[in-house]
Amino acid sequence: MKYYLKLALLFFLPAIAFAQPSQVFNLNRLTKNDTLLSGWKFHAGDNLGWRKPAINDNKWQTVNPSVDVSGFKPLKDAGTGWLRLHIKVDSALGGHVLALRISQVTASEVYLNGQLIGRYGYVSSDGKSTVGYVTSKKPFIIKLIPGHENVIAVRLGYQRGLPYISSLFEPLYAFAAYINDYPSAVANYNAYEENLKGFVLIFSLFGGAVLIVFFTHIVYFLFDRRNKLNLYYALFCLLICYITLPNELFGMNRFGELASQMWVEYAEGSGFVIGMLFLLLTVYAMCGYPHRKIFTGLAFIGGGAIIYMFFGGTTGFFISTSLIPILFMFEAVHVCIWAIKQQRKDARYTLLGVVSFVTLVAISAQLDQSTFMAQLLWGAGVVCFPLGMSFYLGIQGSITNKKMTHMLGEVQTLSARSLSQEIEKQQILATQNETLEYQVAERTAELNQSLVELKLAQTQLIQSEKMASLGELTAGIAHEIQNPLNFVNNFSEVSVELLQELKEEAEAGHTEDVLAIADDLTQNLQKINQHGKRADNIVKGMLQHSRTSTGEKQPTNINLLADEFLKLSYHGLRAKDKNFNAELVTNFDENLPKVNIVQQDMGRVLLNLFNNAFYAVNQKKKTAGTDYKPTVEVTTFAPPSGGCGVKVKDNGIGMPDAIKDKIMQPFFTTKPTGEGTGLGLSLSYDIVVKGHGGKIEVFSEEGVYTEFVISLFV
Amino acid sequence: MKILVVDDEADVQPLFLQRFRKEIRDHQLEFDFALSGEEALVYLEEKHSEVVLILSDINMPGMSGIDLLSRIRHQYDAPPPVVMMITAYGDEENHRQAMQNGANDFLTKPLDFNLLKEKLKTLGA
Repeated sequence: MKYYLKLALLFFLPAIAFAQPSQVFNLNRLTKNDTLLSGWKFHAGDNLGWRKPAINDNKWQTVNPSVDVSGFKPLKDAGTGWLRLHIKVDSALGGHVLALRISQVTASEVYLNGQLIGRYGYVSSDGKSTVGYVTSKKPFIIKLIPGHENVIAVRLGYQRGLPYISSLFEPLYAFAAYINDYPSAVANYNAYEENLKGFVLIFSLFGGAVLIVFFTHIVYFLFDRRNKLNLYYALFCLLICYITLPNELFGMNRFGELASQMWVEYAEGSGFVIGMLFLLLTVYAMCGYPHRKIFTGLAFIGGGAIIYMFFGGTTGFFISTSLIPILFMFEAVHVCIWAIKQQRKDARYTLLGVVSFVTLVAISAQLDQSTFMAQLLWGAGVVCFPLGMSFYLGIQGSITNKKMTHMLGEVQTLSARSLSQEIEKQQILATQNETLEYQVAERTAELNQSLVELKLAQTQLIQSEKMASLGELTAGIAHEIQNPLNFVNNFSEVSVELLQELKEEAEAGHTEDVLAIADDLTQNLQKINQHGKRADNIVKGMLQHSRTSTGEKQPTNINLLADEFLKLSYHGLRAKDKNFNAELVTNFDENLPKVNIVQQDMGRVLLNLFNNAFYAVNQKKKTAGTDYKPTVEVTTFAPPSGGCGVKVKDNGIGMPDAIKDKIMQPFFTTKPTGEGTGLGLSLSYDIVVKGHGGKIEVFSEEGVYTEFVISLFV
Repeated sequence: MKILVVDDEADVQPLFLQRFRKEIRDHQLEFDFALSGEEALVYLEEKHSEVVLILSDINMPGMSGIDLLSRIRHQYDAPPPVVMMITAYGDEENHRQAMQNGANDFLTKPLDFNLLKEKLKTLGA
């Protein structure tokens, strides 16, 4: 589209017809178009004196500065120099107000007949700090003296280190000056300006459209970052849009410092190359093309073109903006064809766009750039791709839409179905809940009943445990009672005999014998009484054991208690198993104080421990050799922390660590089914720990020994 | 005739002494007592030759009467003393064991002293 500008510049094409070989430029008539001044003399270097009209410049070099600055070697080499032109205005033109228009990419000071009439940029003598300046196309009045020879002297400076680029591919004149009568010059300028407005409008429309596409796709990308396609395409649009941006911002008639304008042009060229790379990436993404080797190569070529543009100026710009894109688009075509072969039908729209773009730009490049057709083709070519893209995206969108509508329908059907199912389920659930609640209530009632029964059973079990231990006792008690009864019987029998003897001796008058027999009788009666009490105690103890604990604590001699129950237990077992025998070792600390305990309860604990101890040694005896001596040892002691302690130790089967922790649990037993209730130690634990605030510990080594230690802190 | 009575019940001693007071007075019988099997063995070490009859309880803490019987039968065979076992549990098992270990007789508690006297008479004769 930029080529349109060329069309506009046709207005300013120089009317060279009046250039003369003589050293004086004669202006004898004016035309509609502005007239280019020619016949300039040049001298390198700097001397302010050269502004004066009187200086002899006959030997100065004749030059044409109205050429591209790259072709104006004398100035380029020297950096600073002077131009001089002798101009004679025909007297016939005396009535006209003349105007001058300057076109330059250098820095200049313009002197008319020694007087400064214009300064553009900054000229430095050594050329190092020269600042180039692009002049406006606006004419200004110049007061040439008609009929006289006027001298225009121009101090000219060349700014180094810049890319000299014209995006319009027009020559960047080192220095060109045009003359016309003021009204015509202004009219020409206005017509030019008027024309430019249309271009700015077209550029804005084009740029704006592309900008919208940019925003659309960047938003797409921000919403779905996985899809890089939108990012690439958005960046392409942004860079393409940038090409038009300077025109929109600055207008077409740019003037001011040269450097900024050149760099803007350079950036335009670079942006175009980079934009094309993104376009290629867009095509890759659309087609799902995985390889990047060619792309990398093209990226290097593009980079090279950008670097070359700095030195090559406008030529470099042409390569970057016309040849590079075509090269890139060949790759795009290649990828599209690849994609079509891969059964990606959408790729053909892209291909169509790319091919149209390449074809149109290629055709336009063949045409005269100043023609309307060339501009049209180039412009159409550039928009072809976005059109193809839009077509592609539109089709994609409509396909998605159709799919979505179809799916929405399905979803609606499904949701209606699931809703009805939901209601059905809820109904079922409600029914089930009711049933469940009913069942739960029923079960709860059952469980409560079970609980009551369990509690009852537990009470019964505890009672039966008592009875079981009582049963074990019975035999022992029988034996224990048997002995005192024997004595009672025997002593009473003997006493009867003694009484008979006593009578006989009394009748015989043996007083000494009578007294001796009487002593024996007394002793016997004491024995009878003593053993009667002994039996009585045993029976009382048995009754105490079977009776429910009153829980009354009373001071008790723990030694006596331990001894009593040790014997009961021992004889109980003996009664059941005639083979059974064990050595009983008692180590009683006779100095122990009485302790406050519930006798029956603690008796039961001791009985339990003794029974277990005897059971353990008896079990071991069954397997051990004849050397084994079953021993049960009872020790009472005063623990250092106060109170009293009872140790019951046996050298029986012991127990593994694994069951040591369990033995205090209710219903845990190692005895065969039916032999133990599993409540003995549990009850003992409750009695010692809960009933007496004491401690019960167990130490054991499997196959070696077991030791229970009860500590009472009362 | 010297008789050793082994029983853990201490009151057995006055009972025997009174029951046999006539025999003792007439020096027909002489009684010695031991409260355990161990004590009896210690006693026998010194006086086994004097002792003619041993009356032993079976159920005693420590060494039982059966053990004592077995030891006596192994240690003292010339002349073998007469050993009579006495027990409160007059069941078959005890009887069998006593006889197996070489008891001469088996008596149950409560002791029938008249019967014992008869037996002693036959022994003494």
